[in-house]
Amino acid sequence: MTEKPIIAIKDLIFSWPIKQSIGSKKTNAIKPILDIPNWEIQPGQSIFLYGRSGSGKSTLLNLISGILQPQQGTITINEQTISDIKPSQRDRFRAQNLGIIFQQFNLIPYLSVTDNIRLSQAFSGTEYDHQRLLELTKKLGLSENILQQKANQLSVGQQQRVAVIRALYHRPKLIIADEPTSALDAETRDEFIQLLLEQNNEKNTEKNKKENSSILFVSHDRSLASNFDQQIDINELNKARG
Amino acid sequence: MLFKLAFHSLINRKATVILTIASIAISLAIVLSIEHIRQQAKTSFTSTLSGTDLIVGARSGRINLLLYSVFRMGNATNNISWQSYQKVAQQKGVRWTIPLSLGDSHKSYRVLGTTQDYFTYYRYGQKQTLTFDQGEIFSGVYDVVLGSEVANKLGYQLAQKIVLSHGMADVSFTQHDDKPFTVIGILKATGTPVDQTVHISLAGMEAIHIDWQNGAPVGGLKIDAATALTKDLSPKNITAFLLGLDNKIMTFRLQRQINEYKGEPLLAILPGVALSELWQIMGVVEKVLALIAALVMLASLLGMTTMMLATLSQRQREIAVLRATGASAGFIFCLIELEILLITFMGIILGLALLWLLMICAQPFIMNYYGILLSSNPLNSNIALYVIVIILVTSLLACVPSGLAYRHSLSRGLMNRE
Repeated sequence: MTEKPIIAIKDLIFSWPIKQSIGSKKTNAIKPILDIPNWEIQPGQSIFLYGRSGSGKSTLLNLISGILQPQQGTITINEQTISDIKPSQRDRFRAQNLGIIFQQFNLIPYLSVTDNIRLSQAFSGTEYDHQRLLELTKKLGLSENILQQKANQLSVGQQQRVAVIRALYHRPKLIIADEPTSALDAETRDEFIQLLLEQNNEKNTEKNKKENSSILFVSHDRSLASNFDQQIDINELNKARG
Repeated sequence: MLFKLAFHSLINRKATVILTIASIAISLAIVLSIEHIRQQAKTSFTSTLSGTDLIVGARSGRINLLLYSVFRMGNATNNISWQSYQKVAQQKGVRWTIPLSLGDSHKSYRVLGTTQDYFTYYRYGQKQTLTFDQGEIFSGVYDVVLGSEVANKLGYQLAQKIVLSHGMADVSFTQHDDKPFTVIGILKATGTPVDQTVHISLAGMEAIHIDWQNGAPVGGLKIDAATALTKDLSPKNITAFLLGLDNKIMTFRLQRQINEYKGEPLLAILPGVALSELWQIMGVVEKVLALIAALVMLASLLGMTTMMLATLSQRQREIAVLRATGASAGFIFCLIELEILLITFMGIILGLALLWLLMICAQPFIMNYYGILLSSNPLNSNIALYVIVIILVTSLLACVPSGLAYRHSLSRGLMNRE
């Protein structure tokens, strides 16, 4: 396949520095937590990444989003090697190309829903598209009235939907979702995943599908796996856990 | 976006923010009111006397001479003879002199014997002359002109008769009750010791002591008020005198001449220099006050920093969301810094308003009790300097929580670290 991957990881090694005292001497011992020789994701795909708590899933997401830097190796997102660019460029790159959904508390509580959704647009310096906002609000089954409400006035379910709108709003190349359903009950959870996948599938033909955002969905709950194009166990990728 | 975030974030935590603003405002008002009152007191103090080139008295200490001649505090060690006074007064270049004769009192207010020149040449503050609230300058031997405080506190009116006491005792056994004085004039408030002075003529001073010798009534000799008028009332001694020159260049030469006067030991001092010297004695108190005020201010700024540090841990998620949507670590730093500066700024505005209000309320009280005329406008360049220093100190202190937030947003991930 000649297709350029949306995520390409090569020879990645990452470890948290841990302060240890050996005798009277303090040293920064290195304990690798991630060691991924090679991993690629093709555009338009939805990936389910699973693994136990503590297996390094969240650390991997931090590396992919450019918040953390690997000690070795390269991470290329949408043909941009993010470890090669300056931190400020990396922040802007994240604002333009990534949509991130957390477990919960996705929104700034004291900002209105609209302002929350517009954060990425403000940080990436792109134009505000009100039409797009209204369209997504409608698709996710939310009323227009909530746009002016403060984020802390919404229910958890509504907050997660707003988080999806924010992740999709600027048409990012990659959506990263870190256990976004763990705060939801079973029924809402399935509905949420369907919404996320459906809204992302704007282009339905096989050819156009590659223009959709890729989704990297991380969870420890394997019962959700069947909704995604591909399922990956982090332990298969990560040689550090061997 | 930065301003909007900072603003809404503060509104979101309004209880803590309002308390912090109040704490800054109160401490700023304390610092500035101390500074303002200090400045005003200094100005008021150093301008107690103006336009006078030399103060001359019997030889003693400079501060002592200043204290009794200008502040009516303490006593002279000796008098000056009328001849010596005349000799100096008639020197070439001397434009005016005001003789001062002290020693008696009225209900613990000092009585000053002087001439009509006192009301013409005496200057205070920005070379202001004494002005009358009611009445006029004394002309008769038993006329008295009251300082504003004397009239107010004792409730005296024009034409009222008052009795002077010998010496300074509150309840003096030796009253000059045989020669009562009539209030002929009441001066306007000056904010100087003039307000606390009872002014009579030198002849009046002689008249009440005509049947006295060595500070006590002469036994058997009793001269009534009317008879006294027929006697020679020209003064023999005075306590001190103020002197103005045609040309200030002569000041030092005349000062040396007076200090070297052969007739009797005299001392001439420059009022400005002596006033500053006296103020410096009080400088320690002034510095301690300023230090306390500065520490109060620092404590409230530290309190604000602590408040910000404490909220940081609650705001981890919020910072993670901002970082996820593309905010740089620098943006997070600026956000916290801006929030702190906004709180400080609001604290400063509220503090200044509080100060202004405080000054308006305190003005009559301070004027009444301390005789210091406070200008109600506390905004001057010195206060601007204070505000700038506070903003600078705050920006520096704010670096602690901002820097911490910056570091965390770089080293910690967005998602919970596993």
